[in-house]
Amino acid sequence: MFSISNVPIDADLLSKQLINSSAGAFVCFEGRVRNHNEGSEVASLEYEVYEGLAAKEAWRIVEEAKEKFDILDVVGVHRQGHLEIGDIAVWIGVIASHRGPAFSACRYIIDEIKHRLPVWKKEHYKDKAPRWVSCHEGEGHEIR
Amino acid sequence: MKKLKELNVHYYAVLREMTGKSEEDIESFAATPGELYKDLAGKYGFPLNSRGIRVSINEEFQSMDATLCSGDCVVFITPVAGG
Repeated sequence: MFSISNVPIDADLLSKQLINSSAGAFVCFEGRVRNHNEGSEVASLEYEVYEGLAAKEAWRIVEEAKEKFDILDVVGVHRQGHLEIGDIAVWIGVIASHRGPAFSACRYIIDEIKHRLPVWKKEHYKDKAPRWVSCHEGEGHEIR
Repeated sequence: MKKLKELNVHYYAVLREMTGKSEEDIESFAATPGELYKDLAGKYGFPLNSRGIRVSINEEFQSMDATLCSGDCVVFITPVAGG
């Protein structure tokens, strides 16, 4: 299950959706808004999401992970809207019988999400004009 | 002979800011998303080189050479930055 959210991500609530007696491993990735990027002081972030396509593409990524790795379940959420420093931007949780596939699947999902989901990020800075950034060529690649 | 098509185009992020709108209905002779992009680039000043820009038609990724049909919802996807 993967969703796009307008409201703050509640990690505790999400992890409770991944309780399974067969799971010996729970791996989670929490992407947070940090206060700097490429030498600039970041004040906040704005995420814009093409929701219809993002939901479909995220579902495909999760299905790919289930085919590639021996895992039991996945829960993920990506934020949209204006986020402050420290806010959770994306949360991925994976459960599996063993830790190896859980780590691998979690890494696969977040890597694919960063490059495939139609999500755009605008960085607002403390001392200069905001700009849209891309992660295709590494974080902070300027597109305008 | 090219047919006039009615298309619904949605704009996100940098393209939304450049057009000043989230979406618009347009009539176009463009046969493909690539042709449509060139028309819009001329109208709104989008980057002329569409390398790195993908397209979605009716909520599915498609090629810039795909065939456009009347009624299609088209979204040009500039480089993304999720996560």
